[in-house]
Amino acid sequence: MNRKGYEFSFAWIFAILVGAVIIFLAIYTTVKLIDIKRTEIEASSGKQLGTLLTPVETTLEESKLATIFIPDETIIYNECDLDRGIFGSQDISVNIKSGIGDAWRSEQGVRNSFHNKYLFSYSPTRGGEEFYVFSKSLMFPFKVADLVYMWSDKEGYCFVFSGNMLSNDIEKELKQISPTNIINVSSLGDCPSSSRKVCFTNIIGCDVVVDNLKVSYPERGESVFYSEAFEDNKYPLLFAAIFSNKEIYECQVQRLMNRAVQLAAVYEKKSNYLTPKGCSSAPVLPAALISYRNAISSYSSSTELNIVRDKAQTLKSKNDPLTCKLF
Amino acid sequence: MTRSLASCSKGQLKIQQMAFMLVAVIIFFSMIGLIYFSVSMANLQTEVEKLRRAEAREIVKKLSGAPELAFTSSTDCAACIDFDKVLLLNENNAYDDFWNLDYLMIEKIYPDSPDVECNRANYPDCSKIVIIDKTQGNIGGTKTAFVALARWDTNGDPFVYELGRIHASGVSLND
Repeated sequence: MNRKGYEFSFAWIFAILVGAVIIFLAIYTTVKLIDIKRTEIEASSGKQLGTLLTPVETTLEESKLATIFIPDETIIYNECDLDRGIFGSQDISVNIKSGIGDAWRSEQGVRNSFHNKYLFSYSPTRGGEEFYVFSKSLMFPFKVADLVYMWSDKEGYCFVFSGNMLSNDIEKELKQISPTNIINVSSLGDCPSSSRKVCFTNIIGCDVVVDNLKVSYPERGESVFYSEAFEDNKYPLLFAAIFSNKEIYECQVQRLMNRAVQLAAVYEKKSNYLTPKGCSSAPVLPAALISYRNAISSYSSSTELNIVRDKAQTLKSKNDPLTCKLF
Repeated sequence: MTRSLASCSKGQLKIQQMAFMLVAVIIFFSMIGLIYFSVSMANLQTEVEKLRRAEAREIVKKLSGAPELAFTSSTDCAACIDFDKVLLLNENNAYDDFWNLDYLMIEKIYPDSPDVECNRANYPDCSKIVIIDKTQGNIGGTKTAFVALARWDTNGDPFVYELGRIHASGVSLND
């Protein structure tokens, strides 16, 4: 008998087994490397976004508008943390859509922290190509900070104006700013279905309802309070409540109050330092500053904003008539 | 039997050759992987430094609008820095981590003043106030911007306006 056949030797088996292990390791390493690279890109984008918010802050202007262009569909997470330092922190993280593997990573991107930023957005905010931001300075009664509001091309806003005085004021402000992807209408039915609907009277179907010094979020059954600020720029806190949710609003306003306490301390020191040099604001202004600082130090929620505002009004009324103003 | 023994030895030799070849391939790809990771980490470090410098640059441009530094006592100079406030802010450690900066200094460059750091005793006959210094002597490259400084004056006009410069550098990677 002449048996001819191929000898499948042990060497072949060994080579195939080891080759399979090497290929598996190569694929596993590649997948891990892609994930690491995505994390790196998202961390870098989050940091760049925070840096890009700096030029949006006001100097001489009352408000400022800007557009942030993004190359890929992106989700921006806006978080606020009160436990990090006196000023708390603004945490921004980003997830970017990928064409390789899963479109979105299961974990949130690396958090980038900023102590001097106050971002109000309905988190998470998903954008296709553009994010829009505008900022307003908060005068309470001196400038406390710039508040930055953010939305996107995929998540716009629809303001339903009802003709009352407050809605007329807001309509006028929005016309001056002319923000993109924000529509002003007179009837709820005219709003695009994908937009977030802001109403100035209590209509069913609104996502945000603005009433006298109160902003409600009917879908969650929550509400927050705002207060008018000073100078011509009266509604930065109202816009903050409209463009965010209860959790972010309360936390950011608490951070703003913490900053106001430190600023009041600086002004108190300035008053004590300059009074012997002829720039006299004592004893009236230091006493008003102490009263203001005590009110803000005990601030715990937006229900107390009106109390703080009264102290701020008193402080302003003491400062304005001075020839040597503190602020 | 001799033929069988010979073919077994040949087989073993082939296996050994295969094993050595595979080990060499694995070592080769490992070395490529190591080189890739070291280049990648170096790029990452550069990228982080670049981002921090960009952040410092933007902060420097906007510092004159910060409530802690802005001159608001008069409407004569809305973009000025209040040098009196800066002197007093220096005494408040709460701002050490506020701006994500390792170094922040405001310097008066005109009119000329003694090149000493300001304190309450020598102010305003001094030229610089260091608000933040976490560099431990190793300041490195800073971003600068020219600013107008304003301060209360005891003689003549209520406020004096001078020329100054802000120096800032971002947080170092060595922290």
